[in-house]
Amino acid sequence: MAAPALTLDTRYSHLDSILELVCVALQLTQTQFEDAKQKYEAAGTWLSAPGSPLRHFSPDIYPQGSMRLGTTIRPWKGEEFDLDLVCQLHGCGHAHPLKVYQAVHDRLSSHGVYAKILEKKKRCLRLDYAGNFHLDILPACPDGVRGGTAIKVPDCELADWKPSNPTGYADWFFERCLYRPSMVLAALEKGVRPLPSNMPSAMKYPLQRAVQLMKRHRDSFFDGNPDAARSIVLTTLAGAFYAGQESLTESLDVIVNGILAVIPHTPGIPRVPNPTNPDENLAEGWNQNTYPQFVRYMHSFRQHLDRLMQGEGIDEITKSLGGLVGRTMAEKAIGAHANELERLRAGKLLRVHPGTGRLATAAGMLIPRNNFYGAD
Amino acid sequence: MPPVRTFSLRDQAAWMREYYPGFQCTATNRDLRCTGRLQPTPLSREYEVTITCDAGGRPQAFVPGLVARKPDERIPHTYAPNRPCLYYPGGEWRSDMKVATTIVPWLSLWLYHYEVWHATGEWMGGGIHHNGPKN
Repeated sequence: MAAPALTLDTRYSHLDSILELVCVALQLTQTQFEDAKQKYEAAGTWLSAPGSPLRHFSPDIYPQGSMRLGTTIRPWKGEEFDLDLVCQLHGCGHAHPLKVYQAVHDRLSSHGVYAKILEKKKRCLRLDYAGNFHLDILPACPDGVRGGTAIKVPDCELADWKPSNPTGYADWFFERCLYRPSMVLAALEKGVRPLPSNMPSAMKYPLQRAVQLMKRHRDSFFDGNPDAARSIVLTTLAGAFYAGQESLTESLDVIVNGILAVIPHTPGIPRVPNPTNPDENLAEGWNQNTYPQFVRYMHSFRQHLDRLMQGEGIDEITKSLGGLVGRTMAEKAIGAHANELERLRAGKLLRVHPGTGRLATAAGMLIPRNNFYGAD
Repeated sequence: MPPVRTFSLRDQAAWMREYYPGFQCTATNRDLRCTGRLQPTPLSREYEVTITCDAGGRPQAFVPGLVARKPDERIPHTYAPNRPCLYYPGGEWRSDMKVATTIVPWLSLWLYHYEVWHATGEWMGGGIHHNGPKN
């Protein structure tokens, strides 16, 4: 996997290269990604295939959530990994929501394999595969009232439509990332859209990486507790408070400070409005019990980030990083950093800054060849 | 091939002062002694280091206060707990080389790997063992 550029010029740039290596280690494995992609494409093909009763409604299948946003991380311990996809039908805006839900359900259950692993959920249909993976398929129709990319999805409990806008949300997120427009263009095609590739972390924006690290600390802090803050809440807060920093360390600093500054000034339990639909509160799961846990998680993030930003000694830094993302992940990133530095040394690209004797990558004098000697 | 030229210890001290103004160096015809502070990366600690060389001898580096990870463990690539082995004695350092552009960079690199070793338990800087090459 491509490694991010290694820079050692300042504390922040050194920390950035370590945090970026954590993000590389947090990526799905290529096998996990390919497996998810293959299942996603197969389901999409089945829903829109010739002979499918849904074909009449020109189904448009596209990913939503972290896979679309490039903020996916490996599942925590034995937890399930899921992929969310929208099955958007057209010309169904006046149909009854439960009929639309049932139509997608029936098509899936007419498939020999899917029928056995199909589960009805409140707003989606789940294909629950063996091996800790499931595909959540969200039936949807265009929302003619809200217009644009807005959709409405059947809610089986309410027997009514609920508004949603995953495309609008992704557009908002990538605007916050200052995402290159050319990379969004691929998402404008019709039909089954290819999943964004398991893009090397080196090519991601600081906001995407910041979200990955916030999710990872959420996973380690809550450790399986179902009250854990939802990814969409963390992603929205991160996107809202991010202010275009190029440094990942600074991005995290600004985001966490922004969130913590708002908390004392917000009486009661705050709302987190969906940026594409302010009526929707993404944090509707917060209550007297879960919100204080979120606040504790944010303070924990701040505390570990402070230690990381102030620590002296790579061993101390590794311990602080372990508090943030888990010890194994921290040691893996530090090891990867040393490997990368050795690769530069072998390629005669590692330098020393005259005046201080500090290791450098950009400018300075080249280090002559040597072998550390002695027993270990 | 014999060295084309040899730097005197006074030459070495002059180079050291030029490259690292923060180091204190004394040199006679018989010995060189340079002391200063070295921080291998912005996230590393600062180490008080001493580099010495006798006339006709090879330079040595001393770093007081280095510790092993466990009491019964030794620090990799050291002659003694305060003496990192920076180069293979079979010709990697020659008297036509500058201490300032070899020993100091090697020591900085060694100190980086020393901290990584503390962090992960693994020496990732390669090297040669007394009993043969490795990595």
